[in-house]
Amino acid sequence: MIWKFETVGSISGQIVSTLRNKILCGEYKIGEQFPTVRSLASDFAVNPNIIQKSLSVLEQEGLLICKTTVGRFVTDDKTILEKAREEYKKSFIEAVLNKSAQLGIDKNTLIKYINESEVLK
Amino acid sequence: MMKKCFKYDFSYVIKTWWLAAVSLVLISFGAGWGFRNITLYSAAPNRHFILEYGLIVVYIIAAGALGILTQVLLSIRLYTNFYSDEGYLTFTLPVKRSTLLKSKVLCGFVFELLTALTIITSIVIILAMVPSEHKEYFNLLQETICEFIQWFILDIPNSEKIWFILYLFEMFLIGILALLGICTTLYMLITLGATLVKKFKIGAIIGFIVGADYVFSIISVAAGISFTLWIDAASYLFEDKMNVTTVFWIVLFMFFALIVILSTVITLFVNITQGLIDRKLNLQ
Amino acid sequence: MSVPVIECKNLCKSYKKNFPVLDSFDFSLEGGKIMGLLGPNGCGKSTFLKLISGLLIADSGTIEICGINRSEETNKLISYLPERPYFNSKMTVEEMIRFFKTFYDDFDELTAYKMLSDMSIDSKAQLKTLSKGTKEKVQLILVMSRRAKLFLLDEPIGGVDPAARDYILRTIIGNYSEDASVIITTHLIADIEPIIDNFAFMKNGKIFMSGVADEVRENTGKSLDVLFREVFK
Repeated sequence: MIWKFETVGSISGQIVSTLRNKILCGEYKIGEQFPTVRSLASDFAVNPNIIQKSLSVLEQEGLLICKTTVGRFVTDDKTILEKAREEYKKSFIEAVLNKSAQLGIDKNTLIKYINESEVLK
Repeated sequence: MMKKCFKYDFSYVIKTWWLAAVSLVLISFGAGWGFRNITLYSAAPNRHFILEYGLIVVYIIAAGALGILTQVLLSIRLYTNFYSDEGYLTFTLPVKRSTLLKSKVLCGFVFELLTALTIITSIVIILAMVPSEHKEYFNLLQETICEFIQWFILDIPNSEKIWFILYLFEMFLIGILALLGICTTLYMLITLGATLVKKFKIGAIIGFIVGADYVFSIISVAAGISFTLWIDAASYLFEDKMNVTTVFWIVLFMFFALIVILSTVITLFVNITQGLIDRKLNLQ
Repeated sequence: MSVPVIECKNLCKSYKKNFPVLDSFDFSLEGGKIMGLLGPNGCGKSTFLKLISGLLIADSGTIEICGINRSEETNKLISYLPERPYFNSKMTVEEMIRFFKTFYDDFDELTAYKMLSDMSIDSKAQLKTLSKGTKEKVQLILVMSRRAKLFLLDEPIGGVDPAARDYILRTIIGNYSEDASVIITTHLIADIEPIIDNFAFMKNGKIFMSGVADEVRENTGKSLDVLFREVFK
């Protein structure tokens, strides 16, 4: 699969987002070993140093833990993951609200759509 | 590295060359057969030897063709390996440029030698096929050789045999240098055309070769004339002082001079070629 | 501080008098970096690569590969992919592999054969029977199968189809090692942006802008491609 990156935003930043989403959505299981820099570089078709940079950011966020000589692992600290998920959800909803405001959708219209939604619980 | 380069140069040329060489040898059997028939049945009335003469003509053409083919193959090898796009590969190898050229020169010499030997072999085959009773056409050569060998072994005092051995050695060297000279001259002319001329390189190379042929012909004529004059002058000047030893020395010296001239010219040509490759190689 | 893989000082080269292609050109690259050398046609990038690989001799200046002065010895450390095919077309792919193996000690035959089969190229095929695109792929495979310290790739993805382009870029990434570096010249800046560490814009024989590729978008808000177009308008 060829990953197509956006034309806006640094590539390492986009990779950080993509990987973070995958972790938070459970694509990489808790405590599971994370793919190597090399394999990620090959999957994304991106310079390994950029991958390295992205993984360092995720380590700083606490989502990844680096165990020297063994590799990187997804954190098994559930509180960190929950917190990150909450952050992500929050920023996603904020983005939706901002975009709605930009499009001129007012609160009532938005609430109406939310209530009528069959997708949301 | 030299061995590796030579292996590739050699195998490139031999792929085509061996076919032509073997063909020539086969044709020489045909020509030999032709001569044989002509000498055996020349008395027969109403017998036309069209096939036989035809084969002899084919042989002569084939012998010349082998010589030309050798030059052409060596030229193509040098040109494509150095001055075509393949040069991008050749000159980025971890090999000195001098080694690359030396390999080509050695390859050239080897094939000139092989060609000469093949042609000599084919002549020997033809001579061998003519029936012994009828060797009138070829007796002259055989008789001369036998007489010479007899004269050498029996008539010359041992102390003087050394001169002829030296002469033989010098003539052998001259032969080697002549073969070397052909391929080094060829390489230099190709390199001149390929490095100094921007467009129509092949045309320039052909021009250089034709020009060199003219120059060589003129030099040969001039050398022939001066040689004759020199013989006349020497025999006039040294008439009274002429004894056998002096003559021996003069002949030795003349051969030696020729060896020196050939060696110098060959070295000069190789240096020119190397210099052009080192300084003027401008691949497009 | 480790020795840079390549270091050039005051490099000058001109084809005609008063017409310098490279003018007091300085350049340096450490190990483990993939650098994109970008610029319009005729700006001197191909000439620069030819000077490093020994096809051209500089008028003045020095070139050092891993601290050693440029010579045929340093060619052992360099793997050069020129823009044009450089084969003896009578040879087969197999024979070319054997040729590389003969002259280069660091040539990895297994990798070469693997890449050939990945791209479904018949190793017994004669080179002259292959299409232009396939020839370019073979040439790239031979170059990338070497464990060299410096790779010089002159327009490696120019004439190839997008699928092959992808494979080639992945191969360049996969070849990555901390002591080896790659210099790539290309026009296809959008394709190359994600795989390079550093970039350098070249014009009139000089580098007038360089930096880390990943930081360009943060600093300027533009992709490298857009920046290039702006700069070279």
